Amino acid sequence: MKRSAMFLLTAAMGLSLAACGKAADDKTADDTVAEDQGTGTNTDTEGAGQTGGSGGDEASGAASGVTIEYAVNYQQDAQASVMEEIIQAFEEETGIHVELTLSGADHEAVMKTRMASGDLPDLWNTHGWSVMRYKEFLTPLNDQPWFGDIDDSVKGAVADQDGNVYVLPIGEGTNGIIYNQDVLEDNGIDAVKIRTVDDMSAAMETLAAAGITPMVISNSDKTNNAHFLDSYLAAYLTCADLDTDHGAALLEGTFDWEASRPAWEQMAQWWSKGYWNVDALSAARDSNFSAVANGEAAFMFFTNDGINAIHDLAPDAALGVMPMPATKDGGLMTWGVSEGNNSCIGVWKDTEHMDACLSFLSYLARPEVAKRVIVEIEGGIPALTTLDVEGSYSIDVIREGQAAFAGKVDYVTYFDQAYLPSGMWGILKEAASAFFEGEGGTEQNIDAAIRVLQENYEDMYEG
Amino acid sequence: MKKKSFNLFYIPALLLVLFFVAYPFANAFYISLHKWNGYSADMTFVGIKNYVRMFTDAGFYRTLGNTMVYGFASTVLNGILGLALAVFLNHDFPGRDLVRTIVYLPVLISNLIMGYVMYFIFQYDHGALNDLLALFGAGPVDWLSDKTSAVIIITLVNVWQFVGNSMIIFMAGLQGIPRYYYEAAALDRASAWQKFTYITWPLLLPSTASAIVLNLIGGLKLYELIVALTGGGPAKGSHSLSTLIANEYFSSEKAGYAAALGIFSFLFIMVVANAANGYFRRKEQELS
Repeated sequence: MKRSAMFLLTAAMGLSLAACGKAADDKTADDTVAEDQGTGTNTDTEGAGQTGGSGGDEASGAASGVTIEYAVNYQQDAQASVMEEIIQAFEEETGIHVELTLSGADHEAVMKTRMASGDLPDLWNTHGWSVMRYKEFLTPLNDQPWFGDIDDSVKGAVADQDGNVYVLPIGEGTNGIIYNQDVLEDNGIDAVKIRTVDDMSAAMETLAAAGITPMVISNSDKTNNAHFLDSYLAAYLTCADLDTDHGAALLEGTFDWEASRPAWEQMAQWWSKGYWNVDALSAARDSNFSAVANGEAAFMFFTNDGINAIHDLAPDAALGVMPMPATKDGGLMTWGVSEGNNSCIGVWKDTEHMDACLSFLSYLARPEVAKRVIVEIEGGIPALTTLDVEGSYSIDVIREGQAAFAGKVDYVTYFDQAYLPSGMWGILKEAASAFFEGEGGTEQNIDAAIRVLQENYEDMYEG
Repeated sequence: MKKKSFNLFYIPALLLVLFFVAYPFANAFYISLHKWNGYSADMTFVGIKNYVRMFTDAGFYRTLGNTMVYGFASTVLNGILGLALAVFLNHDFPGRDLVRTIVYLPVLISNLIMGYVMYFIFQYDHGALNDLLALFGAGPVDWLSDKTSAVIIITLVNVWQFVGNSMIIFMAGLQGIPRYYYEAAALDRASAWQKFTYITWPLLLPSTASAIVLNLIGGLKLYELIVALTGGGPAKGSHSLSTLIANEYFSSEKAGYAAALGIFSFLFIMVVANAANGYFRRKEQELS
């Protein structure tokens, strides 16, 4: 009996992983609004009232001495160091203690667990999901003093259908193609002239002939292959000037993923010609960064934080960014935009320290503080009109790219966030891996990738 | 008639079992009967659909196969190597303590960190192993891009890391065997092999049972090493049940299915561990 009990306990450790969650509190966003109104919170999009009388800085005195938790998804030590400095200054000014929780690459999983258990941090980075995933757990922030400073370009990504915004959006994220300018120039390629998928194929042919890996991707399951599909599929399925826009069908849950076959066939062509890194299936994201930084590879799909990561590895390398090329001659290129991955912060609707949280947000929204967040943490485009950011490497690179391709770009909300149920991020990774598995790029691989997307899309859409 | 009594000192242990076994089990079973994304308030009752899916999913059987390789192959290799090292290092020779330390050292390293270290050794691009091969003029090998080789590498790394544990357990058992058994056997002119098979091995049975059951459970619930080394890839080909549960729960947002996998994993490990334990108990009784 004693031994049986011992084994029961041991086996239970494995089981507890799946059992740790329970359905979250049944409160909805509507309930939140009602509760907040009851305590003085005005969720009117015009911001006519103030949250519990605490519009930010003026409330910090009353909140002095409390401790609030702020959970972030930073994956680089430097990002955490900058935020710790900001927090220290905030603590000295207000007496409010901010406990920084670093969950790194596991931030998403940690947040899902905490949502399920109803034990959320007071504030957290919403990494693109303030509306679709976190809305029912967040406080509407339309009445905050910085609300009017939110740039129109990002409002579409951070506001729900009723116009409610649930985050302080300091930065805007972009998802496109990062390239090594030196490598392209050495091989006589002008990135600005790459406007279509055919142009991209021609450039990759030149690079491959010169012994350069044209494009890198990483499919080991902790990597960037979903970033690739997110940009790539948008060009084939939902770009504004396509003959058939599949957006409506995707949103209705009626989309047949067979329609994505041409996109996969183009990938198969690139793979069969050796335009991708040989270790596509097992490579990790960091080795992709290194390859672009060292000039061993030319192109890589990633978000803006990739620019800083590559720049840190090779400060002398000239980098550029470009949108996903058009799928037809003269067509629009697509460039994904969303809330910044590391710089959009929401407040838990049930926090016991609402005043302290709002004070912290107001502090972060100050131009001199927000500038540090944008330049040293996010590396993306500012989402607040009060920010005048100059001299940031990644922002300069993005702005140069935007200027170079101006007029021919369809700026779209990230494909996964706009069209896929719950984003299907893990499923996109799975589909890309299915494409590269074994020989890679065969009809069977394409069938497998489409099947993964179709089955999970239907399953998650029903959910 | 014997009077039934209840010892109050059982209560803390019972509470622990209730809290850490019964409640998670019941909760996981409840979740496994639902379709749920793992965090929202909405759960849809689907009956045994998640279990039907599990037993009709080829990916599940591949994962189960991997789990058995991690559990049984690790146990066998750990047992053989651990016993050999224990016998060898039980003899006195210069530098013996240093060798013991070196063999045991990997046990002290976190399984997760070991995985990341090993990734740098086995990765295709600038991996230590491929750099070594290059010294001999051989081309690089993408060790982790094939499902079979990924599973083998994970198993071997797991064995290498934890062979020190088995060695310590066997060594403690060896040192508990009275010397006069060997002296008596020597008087009877028993060979070294006869001493091992008639004295060492039977008296090591309790140690063997401990080593096997611990390695079995450790291998069957292997998690961190896989997460760091392959992430369950390539194309979900090196998942164990534990990593698949996490993948289905967090990445695929199929908490109900993950819970069904968890229930199966619980029962599977319990049955295997109890079977192994029961076998060794019977053996011990036969020999006593």
